[in-house]
Amino acid sequence: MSRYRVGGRTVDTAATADNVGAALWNPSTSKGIYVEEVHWAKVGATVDNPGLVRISARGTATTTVTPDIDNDDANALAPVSGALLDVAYSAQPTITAPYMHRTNLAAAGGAGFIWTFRDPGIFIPAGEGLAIATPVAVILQDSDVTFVWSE
Amino acid sequence: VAGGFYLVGNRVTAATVVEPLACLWNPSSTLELRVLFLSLIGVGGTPGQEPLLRRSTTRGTPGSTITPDIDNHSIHELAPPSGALLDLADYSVVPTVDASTLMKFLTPQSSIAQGPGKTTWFREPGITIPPSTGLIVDNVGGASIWDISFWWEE
Repeated sequence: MSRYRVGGRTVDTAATADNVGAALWNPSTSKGIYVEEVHWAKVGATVDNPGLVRISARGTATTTVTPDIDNDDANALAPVSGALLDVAYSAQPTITAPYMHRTNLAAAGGAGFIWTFRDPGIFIPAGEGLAIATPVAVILQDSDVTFVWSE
Repeated sequence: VAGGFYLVGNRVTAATVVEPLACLWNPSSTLELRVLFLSLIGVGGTPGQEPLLRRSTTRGTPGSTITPDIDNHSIHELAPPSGALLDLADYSVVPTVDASTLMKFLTPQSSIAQGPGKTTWFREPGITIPPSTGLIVDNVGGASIWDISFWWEE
């Protein structure tokens, strides 16, 4: 197993329930990946309500960060899964509720969280993803996000 | 159940002064749950909230219920074999709550608009919920709104 980490900055979502701010998408047709950590810190100083939820369709990402060999902790291998960090959308992903975790953040830039998942982490099957979305019809503020995973 | 754990979260609105906010209820007659992590983050900005973590021995009648499924399993293999449920206020029939307090939340909801609260990891093997009982977040303040999440294994 190799451990990867990738970060990006999201944009404000629409004030629509279940809109996604960011997702780690696994485009592989055969290989699952295990998310070990999610880091989130908002830029916009307005209250918002991040939630953790699976997605079964990627939607249309307008901004994607593509991890490469430099995102490998061991600097040895680009992600074999081809995992991608999507941080902006023109067409929303398909979420698969119930939400796994919900929280809310104060109206302060820098407010955020680090979620560390118990071994072996949150499994993302091939052709699926794990997202931070807003469960309520309130804008999810632009935020810095980092996913850490193993595969 | 070998492998993985479960996560579920939702928003709860408690309208009355004294009632449970939420309960992770174990309806199984044989399996036990072990709660690993609890997150309770305030939304409403009402001062004076001091939730308590307690056990319950009857389910009562919750205002709503979230039913975790395979998507709530960390390794995405199966829905909770116990049939565990996240029950939310407002209860029309209040559960039977044991008076013993397991934890008193020391960072109560305050006048900050959103965000104050508490997240807690419980040391392994976690807090056991025996069959046909629950783990309650009890509300001893006024009306309030919270985002609550439980992580557990079974």
